[in-house]
Amino acid sequence: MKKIKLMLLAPSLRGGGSERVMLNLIKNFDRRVFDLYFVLVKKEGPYEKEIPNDVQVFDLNCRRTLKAWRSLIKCIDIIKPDVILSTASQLNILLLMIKPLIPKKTKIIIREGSIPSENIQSNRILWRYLYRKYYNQADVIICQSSFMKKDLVDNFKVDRSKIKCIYNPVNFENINMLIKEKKNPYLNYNKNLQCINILTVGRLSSEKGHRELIKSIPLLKMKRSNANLFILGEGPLKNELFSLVRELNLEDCVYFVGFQKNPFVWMKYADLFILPSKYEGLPNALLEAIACQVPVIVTNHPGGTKEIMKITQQTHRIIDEFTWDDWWFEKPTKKTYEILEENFNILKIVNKYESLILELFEVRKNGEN
Amino acid sequence: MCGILGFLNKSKKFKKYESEIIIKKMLDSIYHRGPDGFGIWSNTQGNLFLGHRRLSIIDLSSNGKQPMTSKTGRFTITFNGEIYNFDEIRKEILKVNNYRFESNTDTEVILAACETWGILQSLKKFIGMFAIALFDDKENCLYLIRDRLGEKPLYYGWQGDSFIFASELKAFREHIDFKGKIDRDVLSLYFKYNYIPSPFSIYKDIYKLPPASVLKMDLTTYEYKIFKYWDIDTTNKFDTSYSDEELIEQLEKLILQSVRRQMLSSDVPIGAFLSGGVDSSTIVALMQSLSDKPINTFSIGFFEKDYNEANFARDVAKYLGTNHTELYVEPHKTYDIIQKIATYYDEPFADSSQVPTFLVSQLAKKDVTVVLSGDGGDELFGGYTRYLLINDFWKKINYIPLSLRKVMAKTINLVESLQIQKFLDSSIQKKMYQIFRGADLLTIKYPEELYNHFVSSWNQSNEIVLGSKPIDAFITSAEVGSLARQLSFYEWMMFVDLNMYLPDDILVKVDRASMAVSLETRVPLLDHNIVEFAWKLPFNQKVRGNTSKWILKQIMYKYLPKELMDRPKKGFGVPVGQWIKGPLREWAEDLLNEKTLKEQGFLNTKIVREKWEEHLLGIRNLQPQLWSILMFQSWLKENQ
Repeated sequence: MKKIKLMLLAPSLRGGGSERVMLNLIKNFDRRVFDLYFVLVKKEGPYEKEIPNDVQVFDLNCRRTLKAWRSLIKCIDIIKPDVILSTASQLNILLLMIKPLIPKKTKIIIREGSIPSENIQSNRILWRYLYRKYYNQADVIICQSSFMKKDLVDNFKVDRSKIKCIYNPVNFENINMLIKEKKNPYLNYNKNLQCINILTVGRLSSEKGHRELIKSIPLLKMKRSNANLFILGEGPLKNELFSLVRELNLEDCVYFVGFQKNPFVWMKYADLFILPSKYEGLPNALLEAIACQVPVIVTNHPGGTKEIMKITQQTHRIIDEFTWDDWWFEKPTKKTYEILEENFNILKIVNKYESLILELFEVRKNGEN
Repeated sequence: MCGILGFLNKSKKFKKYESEIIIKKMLDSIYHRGPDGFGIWSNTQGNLFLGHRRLSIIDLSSNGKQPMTSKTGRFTITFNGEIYNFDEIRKEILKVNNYRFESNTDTEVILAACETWGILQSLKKFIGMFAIALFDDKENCLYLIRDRLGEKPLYYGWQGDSFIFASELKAFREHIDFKGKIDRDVLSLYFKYNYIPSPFSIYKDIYKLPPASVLKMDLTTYEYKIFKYWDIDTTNKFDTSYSDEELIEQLEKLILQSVRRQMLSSDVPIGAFLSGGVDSSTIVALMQSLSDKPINTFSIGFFEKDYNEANFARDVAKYLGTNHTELYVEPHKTYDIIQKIATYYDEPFADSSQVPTFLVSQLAKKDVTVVLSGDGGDELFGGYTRYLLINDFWKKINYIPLSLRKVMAKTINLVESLQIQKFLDSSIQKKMYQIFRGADLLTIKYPEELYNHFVSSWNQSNEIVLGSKPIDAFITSAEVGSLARQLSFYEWMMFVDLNMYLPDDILVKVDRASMAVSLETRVPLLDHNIVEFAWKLPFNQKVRGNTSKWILKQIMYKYLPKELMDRPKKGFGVPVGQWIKGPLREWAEDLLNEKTLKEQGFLNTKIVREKWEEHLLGIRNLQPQLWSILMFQSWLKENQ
């Protein structure tokens, strides 16, 4: 069988979930079946170092996604891929806009990483138009949860039959390896082992709900005076959140630790992981926290979070208010981890992507019925 | 073993990422040569891009990653092959230069050697098989280098504004500037010899770098020149005072040294092809004498008795105590391979032993990553039966004066033109055809012409390729013609084969078949010390009476009993002539379809159909001719 030329397209390697998924896929795609071409609008970001040795990145070197259209056309013209797998809404739409210039036999798969109707806050009318007009042009649309699928169908009239749900993979092997790599990171902040460390991971932007979380910390302090909150991530809201912490006089118990290469040790040694988002496509951080076997609490928000909680049998841990009850801190059972492993292990997810691509060529992967 | 490639972006019309994509595509096309990884490099000016595909043999860590740049930054290399004496060279470098080696690879040793002694001096020290692309930043030059005997392939050529080079032609096809125009003159050479002789390739303006050659490209002027860095000295012979025993002992030492080197320079399991013939048996015997454990040997058997050597191989393996694997190939599996085999050869190639070579490579790859083969023995020590036959034949016809021979030939031609054979019994017809064919031979003036005639499967191959004109290959070149005056006819035939048949047929066959399954083959008899030694030997050491490869056999008898080895030589072929009449007929008919042939416009349809029908009717066995047409058609189908 001739190998399939697979072009993977992403905006950059900044620390986002979509980029992480692309990296995980690229690390695991079967080299005997696919010739991989990894194209980035701009080669930058902390994940750059994680690119495997046998993957070459092609850098279109454009500051803004929309400006990359010309390079993208040229690039596709040279590669002549059999399949393009693209991620991030802007890039997806750009790719679909230039579709008339792409050879007909090239299949386009787009991966939607967020919930579109929540994601488009500015220029709503324009975005709604673009989504409606272009998303149906793709051969396959991959989303991460049934909630996302419903959103695309109901709000953007995307053809239901084109949408496939594939969860984000969790790289257990990598997590378990990295967990062992470093010591308890909280010890650098408080020498007192009695401290309670609460962790949240995510981009510092309004949809992630940090503001509300910080506002509830005084209540937490009343219940547990030895509790600290650690916020991992960078983002535009940083200064505002800083001032909020100062305003509430929480400087000695709320720590902004920025982007961390190894977030898993932070997860492992935390007493509680909290996801205060307002919506989520399918939060990788939550999956990873469960993989690190830390107790998790999530706010009741639209998106894939509920699906994860349902699969891992933790729906009772979806909360409406930050009440900081004692049961929040109870350790999860081993079963929770096992269910997660069963459903989200990377090989299983990669296999789903591979089969989906091969099905487009009417080839079935060996060993599958 | 690996794959190398690259290109010069003369007009700088490609952006960096565009060039990188092109290189990556080229690398993907030769994935089979090195599935363990790849690397891409470009110079600061952005007009040179190098790529490498890796099959890990030595230093399996990522330290061996190529393209690799030397310590001072002057040289950057992408390299395919093995330098067997790299350890010795490394020690030599350390004596004169404080080079800090970071890996245990021969690649780094090549770079350090170039830093220490310069490129040409270093080349003299290397023992091995290699194809190298080396960029010298100081001189702003690119060097393409091929090993002395042409074991590793390297193609190059200008296509528009891009100068492209690669281990295989497949990679060229991925380059945007590749034009892919089939060279009809070269195609007619292919039909003549059943392979494409150096320096040509099937495509216009793309060439094979001849063995022992360096191509130096100036990256400022974009002009290149090619020169040889090594050659066989055919005049330098041992003086007659050496006894047989002394020479045998010296040769044995040399071969042992070569086998030892080739066995040692590998961090992966190693084995050997064993056909049961003199060359492979000798190599296996020496390998086993150097190893405490049984070595792995492999052979392929055929159910067709006339073509089967596996039982001989088994006897040799049993005697030497090797760990022997043999596979009797089911006929239908062979048919499957035949239908696919053209895809593994990036040029049309029609030596039917390509089929068993592929099968034995596939078999060996299951257990080992490197194999040693006995190739080269026939060319070096005069082993081919045809040498004796043609030599004798020439002696016989040379008794008759040329003028008389011409009259005889004319008479035969006249009889042929009367077409009376058509009314005769088919057995008499066959005999008459033989005589008609022989008529041409009578008019031959020089023995060299006779040899050329003998090794050609279509003498008038221009007739079959439409729009082609005759061109010279190595065998008919003026340079080789003048050598005929210095050498005996027998030695001249060996010299021609060593320079043409060996690199362009035998070694291509072995490289492509083994690389298709990611297996590295090594050829210990082609160590240049052995080649030089062989050419210094007096002729009677190679051929004594009717015994060819005399000296090699004396070495072999030290390890294997004479009774076991005394039997007639067999070819490594398969009965494709019979198969295309039977089980493969449908496949052949499809490829020789009149309409398709006409549409393609390369071949003279009338001749092709005539030959095909003659073969089917059993008037003549036209296996070599038809096999070359089928392989070309099959190649064309895959590559157009």
